[in-house]
Amino acid sequence: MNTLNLKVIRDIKARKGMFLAVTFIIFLGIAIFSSFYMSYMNLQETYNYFYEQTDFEDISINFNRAPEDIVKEIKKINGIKEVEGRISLKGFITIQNQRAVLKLISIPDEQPRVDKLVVVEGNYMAKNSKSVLLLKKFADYHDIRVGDVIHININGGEVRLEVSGLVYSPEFIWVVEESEFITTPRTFGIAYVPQKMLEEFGYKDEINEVKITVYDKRSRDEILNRALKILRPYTVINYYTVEDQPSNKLLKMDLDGFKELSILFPSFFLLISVFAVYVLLTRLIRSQSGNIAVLRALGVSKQTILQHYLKHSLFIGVSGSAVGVVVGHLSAIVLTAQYTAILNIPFYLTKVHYDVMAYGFIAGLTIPLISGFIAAKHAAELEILYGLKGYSEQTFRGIDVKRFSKLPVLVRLSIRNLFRNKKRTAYSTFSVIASIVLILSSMVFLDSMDQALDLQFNKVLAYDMDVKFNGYVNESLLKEIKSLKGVKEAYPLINTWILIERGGNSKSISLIGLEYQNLYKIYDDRGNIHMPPPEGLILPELISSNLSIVRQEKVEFLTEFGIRKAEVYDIIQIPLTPVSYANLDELQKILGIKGFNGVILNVDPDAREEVKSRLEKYKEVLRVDLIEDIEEDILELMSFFYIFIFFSLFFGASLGFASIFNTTTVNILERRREIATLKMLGYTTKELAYTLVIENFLLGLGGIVVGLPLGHLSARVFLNSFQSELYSIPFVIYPITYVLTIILVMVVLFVSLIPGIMYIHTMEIEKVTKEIVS
Amino acid sequence: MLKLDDVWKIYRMGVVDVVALKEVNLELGKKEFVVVLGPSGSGKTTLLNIIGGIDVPTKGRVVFNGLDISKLSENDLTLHRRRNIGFIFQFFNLIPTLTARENVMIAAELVKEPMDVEEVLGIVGLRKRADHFPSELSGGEQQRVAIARALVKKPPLILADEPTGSLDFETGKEVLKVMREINEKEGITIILVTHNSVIASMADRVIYLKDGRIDKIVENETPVDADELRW
Repeated sequence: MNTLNLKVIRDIKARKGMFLAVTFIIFLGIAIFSSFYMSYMNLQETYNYFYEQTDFEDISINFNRAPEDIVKEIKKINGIKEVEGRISLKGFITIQNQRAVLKLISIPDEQPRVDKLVVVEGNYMAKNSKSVLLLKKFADYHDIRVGDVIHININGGEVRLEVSGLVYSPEFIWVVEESEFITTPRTFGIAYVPQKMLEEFGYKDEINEVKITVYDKRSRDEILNRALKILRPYTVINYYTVEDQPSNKLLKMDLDGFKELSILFPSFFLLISVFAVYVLLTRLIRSQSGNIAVLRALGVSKQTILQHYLKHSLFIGVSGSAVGVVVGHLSAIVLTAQYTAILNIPFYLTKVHYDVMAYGFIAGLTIPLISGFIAAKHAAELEILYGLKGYSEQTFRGIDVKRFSKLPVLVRLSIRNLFRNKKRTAYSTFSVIASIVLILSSMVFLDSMDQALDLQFNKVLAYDMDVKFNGYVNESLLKEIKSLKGVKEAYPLINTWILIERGGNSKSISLIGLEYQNLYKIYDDRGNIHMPPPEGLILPELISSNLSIVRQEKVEFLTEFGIRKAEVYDIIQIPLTPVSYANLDELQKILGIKGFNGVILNVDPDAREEVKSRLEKYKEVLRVDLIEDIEEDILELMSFFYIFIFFSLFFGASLGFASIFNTTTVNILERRREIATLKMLGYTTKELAYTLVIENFLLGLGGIVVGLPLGHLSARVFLNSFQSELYSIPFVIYPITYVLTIILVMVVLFVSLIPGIMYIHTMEIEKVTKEIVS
Repeated sequence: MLKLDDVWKIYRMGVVDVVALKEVNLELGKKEFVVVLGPSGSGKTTLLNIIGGIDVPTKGRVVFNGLDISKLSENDLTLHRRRNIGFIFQFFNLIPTLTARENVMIAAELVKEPMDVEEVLGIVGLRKRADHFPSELSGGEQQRVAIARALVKKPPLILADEPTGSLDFETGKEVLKVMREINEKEGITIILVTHNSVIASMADRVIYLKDGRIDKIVENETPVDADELRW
């Protein structure tokens, strides 16, 4: 091996801690990028493959009821590949005294032409059989097996069905229950039953849903309009193309999140690595200026010196990014598997994404090479005479010495050290800032979510129990409910689903009709309470801005009772899921109905189970939810989210540690002569460590002063980028989070000092002096 | 081999011009052992740097084997140093992460036909210590490695700047002995800069510098062995 190359290896070996720290930063950046980006690609390919295999719908239209033959008419529309007409009804089953709502979907004797099912256990049902297929996750949750018999209540009647198979459907990779805050298999499932059986519930030769696939995706909107024209006479309730399909939309949002994170997070690391490589190489070059001068005097060319020092950054880049892409690939497999495990999908696809690996590798290589080039150029340009004079430690300049004359000497030393190498101090401060930004950008999700849930469960939903009926009921039932023992308060409400159409755009949204009461309050994201409007609707900002709707405008919307019109009374920013509100009486007038389809209750804590079970005995009751159960479900679903936050915090702290460790070590090595001198004078390790602690404390303080507002700002931007029309989380960072961030940053700063302090402790003064003299 | 013709070196220090060398005229032949003597600030190191091509004169010509090196580009100067010059410094300037052998090898790799590294290490008496790092060698041993590093390229000229300046008497003498041997056995011209006048007695020629000017040049008819030096 060429001796200069051998020197590269020895240089790295001699400073392995520092090289490792910088390589670790590159490694983390590339590993996060590869992991998230490959997960994004794996998931996208998994969904697409599943969609292809199952002929996933392009268009969906829901309507009240239409003759089955309407399918033939729709099929005539040019460009349509397949149409599947079906009946969709709501029912429920009771398992171990727990009621769960089932969305019952009719299926033909053979697999449907659109949204085919993947049977993973058992069989697709036999012709004319009294059997049912259940979505696997729902069956697993309730421990229902193939061959079990379940009793489903539909419109007050009960049917006995044998579970013939467990399935997955492209429609329900992510199960969403309309008008519900959260959907869990505990309370909601999907069941596929023979069409003939559902027809018995008032749908003889009729359907209320069509699912369509098209040949050319570009013609989707045109086909939708033509199909809507055919179906309008049958009271269209809802419609959407694949982009707005609830499950697909949520998956798409998550995919976008993965993609965004794969760029945003690693950018921090790669930006820090630019400085880290520069600081490391500059320090190396400065300490080797004598060697460089001798090599140049011996006849080594500038080019060779440049290449020599570039090889150091090449080592960092190659090792950091090579390990990074491999770890990224492996963790993408784990992440894809873990993520798909919480979804309703029978498989996941992973492969080696050579293109992503190549991008990651090139990025991880280029960045250290660029900053390495700047440092190596200094080495190549070093004047031989200057280098031969020997390396002189950084002198102190540029600050009024007298200003600190009253402080103890060791404190003065710490302050002046900060001004010694301003570039390095700036880099260290920047590292602290970047760590704070990363930590706050992760914590904002935790705090905002916590605040939003607190608002939702402790202020908005001040009731204990929520009853949903099969249809609309009247006052007499309310009176009965009010008279139940343990019921303190009960108020009726309407919870329905509307589709607002404006300027060719349409958005689905939940509409809640409320009386003036204290159990369900309308809050905006700033915590202001709004009363149900005396007339018209309150619309959420997310929907109104999307459809360019303004106050006092009359909007047209589809309801389960046909097309209706109402004035927009107010537009407010509603936290979490966007909901529109109306006064109950007003909504009854708008819809043209009497009665309500839900009741909210305040119940004596000791009587809750009893009231719930008594309510579930009413044939009109579809389901009863306890708010505390919903809250528990949410916390369970959030576990994946908490893991993500944990890793973000870990990355933020690692970034801070690796970069601060690097500069601290450089600082100590660069000043080892003066440290040796101070030790010689009789200063103890403890006293010398004290100067370093003061120095890092001041550094941290500077970083915190800039980092907190910057972190606050970036957290806001970061959170905003995750807001969608499906949910909006109000921005909150608790004061305690700022305090914890400061503590974490300070701990990282002090922990990164430990190796340096240990070096000072074990420093052999004579050896250092001799080394410097020679 | 080497001719300096009216060489001047003027440094600008702020608004003041400092004349480090003036009117230096000198001619050196092959295989000579020359000692440059003078007090601090007399221009000894500047003269050595200009001869070695790591500094350029402000005025005048430096001709090495017929080539005016004062007119060379930086690249050509690098090649000149590579082929023709070996340097020995007061503070050895060894690369701490390379062993003695590797410090010599790094110079050997610069030329097409270097001397055998083991042979050179043998010449300076370091074969047994070849695998030691500089921090494991004594000052004298480190300077011998520096001599081996200068010698291995087989340069016609070796320039030594205070090579005994950091060494004790006995070790210094050992180093001078090795240098004289190289001069005699390998036929390499050596210019040794020192402020120690005792060393002058082992030179073939002694150049006295004073205030940047050559004060006198003394031919030594009977140079003594390094062993006989006392200071």
